[in-house]
Amino acid sequence: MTYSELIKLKRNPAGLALVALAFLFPLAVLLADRMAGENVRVSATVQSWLQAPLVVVFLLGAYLLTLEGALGTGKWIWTTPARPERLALAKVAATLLVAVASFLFAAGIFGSLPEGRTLLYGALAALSSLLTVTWLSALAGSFAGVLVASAVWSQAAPFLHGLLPEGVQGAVWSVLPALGLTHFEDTAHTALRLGAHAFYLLLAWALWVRRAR
Amino acid sequence: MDSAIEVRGLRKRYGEREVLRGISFRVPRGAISLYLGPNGAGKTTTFRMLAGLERPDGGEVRFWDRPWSPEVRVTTGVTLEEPRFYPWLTGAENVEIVFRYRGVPAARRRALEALERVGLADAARRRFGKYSLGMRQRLYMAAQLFPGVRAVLLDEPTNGLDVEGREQVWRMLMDLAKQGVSLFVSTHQVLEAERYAEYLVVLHEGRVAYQGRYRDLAMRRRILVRAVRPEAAVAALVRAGFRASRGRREEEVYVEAPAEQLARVLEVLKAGGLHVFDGRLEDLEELYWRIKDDVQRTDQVEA
Repeated sequence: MTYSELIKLKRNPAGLALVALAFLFPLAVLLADRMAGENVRVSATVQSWLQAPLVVVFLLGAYLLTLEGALGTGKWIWTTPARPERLALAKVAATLLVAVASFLFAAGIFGSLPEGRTLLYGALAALSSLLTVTWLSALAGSFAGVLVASAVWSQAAPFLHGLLPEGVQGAVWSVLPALGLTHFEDTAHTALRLGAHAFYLLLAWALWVRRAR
Repeated sequence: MDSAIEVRGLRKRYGEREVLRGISFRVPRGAISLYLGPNGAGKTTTFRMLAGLERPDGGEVRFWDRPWSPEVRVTTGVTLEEPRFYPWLTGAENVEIVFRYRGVPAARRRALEALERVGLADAARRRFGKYSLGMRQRLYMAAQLFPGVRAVLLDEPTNGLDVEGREQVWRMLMDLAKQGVSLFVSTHQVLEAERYAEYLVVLHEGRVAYQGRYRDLAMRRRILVRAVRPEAAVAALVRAGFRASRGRREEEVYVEAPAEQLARVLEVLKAGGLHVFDGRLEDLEELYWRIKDDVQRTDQVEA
């Protein structure tokens, strides 16, 4: 089924544009930084090698996961033996394949491959984001809906988090659907974080199973 | 009769509106069965339940003498009204994706074979977005021609097609039925039922008004004559021993007699010096209205 998702990208103007955007994003940041004046530094909030995979996750992932709703093709898909959760998994797998390709591209461009824990935490952040995008797509049902929700949340989450008492901030941050902002380096709340992700996994599964009806 | 599909007491309500009021019918194996009813009669709701996309409020759906289960989807193809595929992909790629979802081995080759069967081999590499409505309908059907298909449910497959397109679709469906595939096709066009149905289920306002062989229904057709003086025509026919009555329209006279009696009816009227400008068997549409009136009368009596 993953192959079916990759076929869907073939000649797809919107899908290919999103992939191109993801591949070009770190380059754009790099170029902007080079072209900026001596006293100005342009950078993204994540490491350069992680930028492209995260853009793939947020844009292409959300696009593929909401594609059937946009085109109305789900109507026939649910009359085949294909199961909704397997369809979601295929879309996630296709997104991950493109994300890995974009990571290799970005690593090649910047000439540095992250190693050890840095690579692991980056990969976990991408996976965590993809999990969030998966259930959010099933909930919102549209590409635009996912983008708006993601944008609002990415701005609101740090602000709301800052309002909390300092003692609980770490714990709360670890369970939030952080849309790529999750700090996996913070090992103090690993159990909480794992529990929250297990919950999001169940949520994604339940929402996708419900979609077939 | 061996049934491919059996529906028992199916009920569905949306809010205040009862769409299906405990319908029961059977779809025989290896034949073309038509599901006839006007728009809003509940045909699409029935199809959605047969496809497992909607749960009934009551009743049961059985396929191949077993209660409905997701396994049914393995051997049953379904088309639901408007065909929607990926517009930027070719017809062959779209069918290949459907076959992959179905777990068909050698999906690409099988997709090309299916397109050939529906007469789209030449357009296999053309993008779906460039297909005409007729081609889209045929592609939707090609997607149901997967290996091992035993039944295909088609919800109004000729909607929006011109005469030629409709003819192509029906020719293809007849070929499929000859290969032993059980077909259940919904339509609101009486002419299609008259021409192609071997078996017929007539739905009216959420109730089955008729189910059985088309031939048996056709035998119930009356003789219709249109005469300049209908009252005198009725009197002459009654005198000759026929059961005759006035029709809905001004000059219509219905005679309760089989097709073989048509010549005799016309003879009686000619002998009575009555001018007749039309004499034939009533068509299925006229019969349909009669069945519908009967159902409405039953409803009123029950109420």
